Amino acid sequence: MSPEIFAGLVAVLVVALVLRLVASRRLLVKYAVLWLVVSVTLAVMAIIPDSVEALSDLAGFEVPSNFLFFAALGLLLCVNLQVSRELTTVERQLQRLAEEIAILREKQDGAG
Amino acid sequence: MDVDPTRVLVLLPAYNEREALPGVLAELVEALPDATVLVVDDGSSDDTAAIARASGVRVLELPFNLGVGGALRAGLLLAQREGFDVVVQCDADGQHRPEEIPRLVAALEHHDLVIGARFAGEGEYDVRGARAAAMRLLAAVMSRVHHQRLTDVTSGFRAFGPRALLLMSTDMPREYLGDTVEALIVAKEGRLSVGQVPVAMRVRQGGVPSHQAFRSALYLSRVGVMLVLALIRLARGRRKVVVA
Repeated sequence: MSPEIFAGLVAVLVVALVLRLVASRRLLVKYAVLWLVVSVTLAVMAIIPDSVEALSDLAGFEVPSNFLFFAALGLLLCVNLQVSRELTTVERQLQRLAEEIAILREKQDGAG
Repeated sequence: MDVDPTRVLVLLPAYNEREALPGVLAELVEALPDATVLVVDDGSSDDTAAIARASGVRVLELPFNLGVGGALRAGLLLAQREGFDVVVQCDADGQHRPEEIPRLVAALEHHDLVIGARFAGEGEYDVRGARAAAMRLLAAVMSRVHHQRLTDVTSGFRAFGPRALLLMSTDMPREYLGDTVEALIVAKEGRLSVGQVPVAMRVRQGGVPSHQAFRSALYLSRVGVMLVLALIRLARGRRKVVVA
């Protein structure tokens, strides 16, 4: 199997998985979009391998695979950072809710 | 500031403190009969909340463990909403003496936030090794930040005046060590005046602090990272103020 076919298969699998997760409401659309873009990009690279080489030349890499690794790492890093940011927001909201619940519960116990 | 004793709330963050709590609460109620005592049960796995309730004090029960910062914030939020003037935070393990509370409250006349400091000459309290070094460093930095001699910034014995209450009920940091050290940076951002009162401490009832080298080193690096991040934040905040 050539690497192009392999990459194409992976792209298709990712798209299928993302669509399934969205359909069953286990993934919000705003997160799904990112992964769809990633897998479409992957598919394009698989169909037109020359595009990778052109981009790699443009960025000044001698070996296209290095360019791919670099781009993939960078992307994952950004995604991870973004997820940490979202998680921070969620944790903050969760804490506020916990505080409010505790206060409400105390009030209710006092009344009842 | 003239403090009405009925408008003082004593706040005890408690995590699995069933052993020490009844004694501590009895002492508190006896020493400060007019104050309201509030235990914040920080998601304990034992019956801390039930024991506190049985002592006749008010109890906030957090649905899961939030850490000291979160427990404090919940208590401060309640105090702020119910119009208390002063909140005194102390440990639920009996380290802090209730007799000292009026002295902390009295010092609120000059400051918004008063720390009961363990190393300020009163009583004996001994910490060694990397932890001691970290505490000294923190004290030195915070003294400079606040232009005020602060010798024990990690103390869990503090009094919050009305302005501190308003700010900390929303902005109290919740991460590890954030409730003590970073809180002082937040206080600076909010232009609160911070002071200290020397207090004597008792040996903590149950629970031995760790002195392992690895843990101390870990503590030291956490303190360092947090301090640097907090100071960067403070510097940025100042710039913004200048621009505005």
